[in-house]
Amino acid sequence: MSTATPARRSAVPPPPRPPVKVYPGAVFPESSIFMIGYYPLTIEPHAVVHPRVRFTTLHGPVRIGPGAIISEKSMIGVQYTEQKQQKQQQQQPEQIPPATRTTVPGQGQGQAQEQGESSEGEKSQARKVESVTLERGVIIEPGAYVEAELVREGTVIEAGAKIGRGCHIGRFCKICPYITIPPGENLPDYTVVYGNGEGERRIDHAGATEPGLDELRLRMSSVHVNLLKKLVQVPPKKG
Amino acid sequence: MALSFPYLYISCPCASETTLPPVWPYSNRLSRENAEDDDEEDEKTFDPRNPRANYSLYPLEHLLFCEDCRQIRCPRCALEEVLCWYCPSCLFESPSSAVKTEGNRCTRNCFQCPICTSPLSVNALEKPDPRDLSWILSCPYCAWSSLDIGIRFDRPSAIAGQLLRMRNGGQPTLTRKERDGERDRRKRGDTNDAEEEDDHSWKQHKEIEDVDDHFSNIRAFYTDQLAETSASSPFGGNNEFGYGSPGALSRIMGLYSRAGRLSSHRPKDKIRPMREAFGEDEGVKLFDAKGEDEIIERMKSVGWEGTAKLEQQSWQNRDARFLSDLRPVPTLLRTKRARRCRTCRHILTKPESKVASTRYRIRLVALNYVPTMTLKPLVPSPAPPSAAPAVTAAPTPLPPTAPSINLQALPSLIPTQFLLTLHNPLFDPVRVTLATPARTPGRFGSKVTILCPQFDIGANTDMWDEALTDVAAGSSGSEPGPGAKSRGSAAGNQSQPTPGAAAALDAAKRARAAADFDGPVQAEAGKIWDSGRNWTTIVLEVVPANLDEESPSSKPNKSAATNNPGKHDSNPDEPPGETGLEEDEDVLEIPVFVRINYEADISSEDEDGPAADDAVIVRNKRGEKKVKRELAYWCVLGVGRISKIA
Ligand SMILES: [Zn+2]
Ligand SMILES: [Zn+2]
Ligand SMILES: [Zn+2]
Ligand SMILES: [Zn+2]
Repeated sequence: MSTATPARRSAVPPPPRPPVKVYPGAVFPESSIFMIGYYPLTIEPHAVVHPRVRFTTLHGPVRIGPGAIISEKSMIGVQYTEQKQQKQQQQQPEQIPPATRTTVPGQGQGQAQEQGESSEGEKSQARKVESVTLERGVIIEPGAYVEAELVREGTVIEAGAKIGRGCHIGRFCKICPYITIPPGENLPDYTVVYGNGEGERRIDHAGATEPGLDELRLRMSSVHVNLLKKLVQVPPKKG
Repeated sequence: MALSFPYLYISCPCASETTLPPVWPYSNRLSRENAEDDDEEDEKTFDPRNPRANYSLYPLEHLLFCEDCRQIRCPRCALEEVLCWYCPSCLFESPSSAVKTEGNRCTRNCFQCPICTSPLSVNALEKPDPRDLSWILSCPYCAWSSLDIGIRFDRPSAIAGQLLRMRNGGQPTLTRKERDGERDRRKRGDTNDAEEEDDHSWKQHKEIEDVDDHFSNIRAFYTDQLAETSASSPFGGNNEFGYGSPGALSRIMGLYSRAGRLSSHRPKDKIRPMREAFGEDEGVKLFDAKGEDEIIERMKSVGWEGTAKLEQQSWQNRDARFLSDLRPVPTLLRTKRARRCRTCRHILTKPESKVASTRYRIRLVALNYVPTMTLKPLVPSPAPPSAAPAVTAAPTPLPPTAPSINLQALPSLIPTQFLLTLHNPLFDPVRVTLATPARTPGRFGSKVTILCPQFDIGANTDMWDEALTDVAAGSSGSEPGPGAKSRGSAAGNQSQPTPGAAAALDAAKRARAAADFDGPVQAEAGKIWDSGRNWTTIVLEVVPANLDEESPSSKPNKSAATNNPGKHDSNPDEPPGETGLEEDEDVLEIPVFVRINYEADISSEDEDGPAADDAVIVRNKRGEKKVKRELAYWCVLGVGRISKIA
């Protein structure tokens, strides 16, 4: 996990726009992507971001790994905090580098509206960086909602699935459509979550032990990326 | 609140027949006599609250109609027969002979995931070495694959056959021939040095023996036994007839009778009793406590995740306690079915035999023969005549648009009017007679009055026919009923036979309605409310029961009910004040007896066919030969829920 570059304050407060770093080879149609936040958004090489994706970096940096595919209407990044989840969050093991800044002006206003009568002292104390990192070859399908802290290599999060904040999703996992993963879960490698609601879980042992299957999956996703590079149009930047 | 009001259920007349019509080839004459015997039954009021009623009430859409019996047919009085078997996954048709021998599952490449039941797909498993190519079954949903049970295939086709020859883990199963060979060899006790090695492999094989081996062993044992015992059976040694042959039953019966009769002068030892299976070679598997321990050990090692759910176990056709025991489930075949009338065996519905087609060749649905009935609350509720203002403007167009009456809470003891519209699907004008008990059956009888119990409905002719053949259709046809002054035909006389006549006709009708009634549009006894090309609307008046007071008697007593409407004295015999309602007792359901008479064009069947017995052939005014037909049945109108008086 690369340390986040220090967040720069946006000049115009109303819609804070995150600093974006797009590596060469990545597809990022910036004009048709909705972004909000103060922390940096990093798109690594050969990642493909579809139009109409929403990124939120209000609570921490977001990093999209190489060769990842983010489909349209999906939401990446920790959304507005709720008090209950915040308490849960404090019990999580700390892996995130200490925040470069603990309070963000302008954010407090939005928070106050969301939280209502939450005590000011608790809020300022609880504020910490909640980053979202997607590793190499991760595929996020349309309408998925990812707040997970870390999604590791080759994992597929299918349409409409919701991954709660602070989750750690292992390598080559598969989250089936419309599954909800509650906040703070740790899914081991090769987990398949299927069914309804929070779903049934199974470990794909065969996928784990069969030699060459991981490379095969990554190769297939790279073929997918190459195709999308031709299909997803990046409109020329204005100005 | 599962009920949505209003609803209509039709009672299939087969329920009133004490026995089901006999199955062909008995003549349908018999059933008709039965029906005539039941005339007394018909006099009784149909009670929708009778538990038996549940078995005869159907929505009109679920009913069929037999043209030969001229009767409604429900699932109870229609027979189903399978036309063809097909796989829903690959849409291949299986011949019924294959279904009998190979079972009702797809024998091609169609399998379902043993974890989640999704259809499995055949995928190639690529390897750096192209010669190493193999195929697996994999689930696109839960990512299960046949690798989980250690199975991979050499070819992407005939997966079922390949799977049959493989155990979980990939070891081959013995073919039947191999099994038989091994068994014979063991029986003979061959322990030649040359076969020592083979014997060793057999022993190894024994350790992973499964259900198939047991089955083949026990089957071989009984085949032998049959051959031995039938040689000494009274009918001689015809070994070629097994117990499965068609004549087997009669031979077994003969064996019993003959054996009893001839036992005195026939040596008993001639009939050798069949031996029971004994030993593993004959398919007997003794209980082994060690095996149970093994299972427990295995459970310890694989844990909760490694065991199959009960549901998953039930999909398997053999014992599968662990995930590693699961096998892909071949897709269950489906059928296309035809329905026949139980009485006359004529086909009522028959889908096209092509698997991919969803069309029907024959489909005699009741919707095309039985008038549909729709119920609507009449708003505004008619005010007393004195309070009503003199009509000046044209009355509101019929029927009313927004019902303000809440059908989920009908006010008790307040007369409420409903519009009952009947649509005629037939191509002949019909005369409808409706009858209903004055008080609905049950503990709480609501008072029901049909303001116009007998009326005519026009034929379901072409839309344009109405406009083009105006006068003739209006004046001729069946003579108008006593109550129904056919406003539709009168208006038709005046309107012009132009294509745009419909609007004019409507306006004329409305004007006439205003003129005729000399007052606000109000339901009038003996008159229809409105009518059109093939529909007629009448008014139904209901006084919902008081749920706090039980009816004087649970039996519908017509005279008593009509004599003191709205006022019920509580029955002294029953405990008073019993207000606890049973489930859905507050639902207002009106049983209505519908009788439809019409004159149909004569068909060739009516001339000399079986239907000629009861069909009365008449000549109408134009001298055309017509057949008088009649259809009668009970139906139930669900009006709404009665609210308690607060
Ligand atoms: Zn029936
Ligand atoms: Zn199939
Ligand atoms: Zn599956
Ligand atoms: Zn019939």
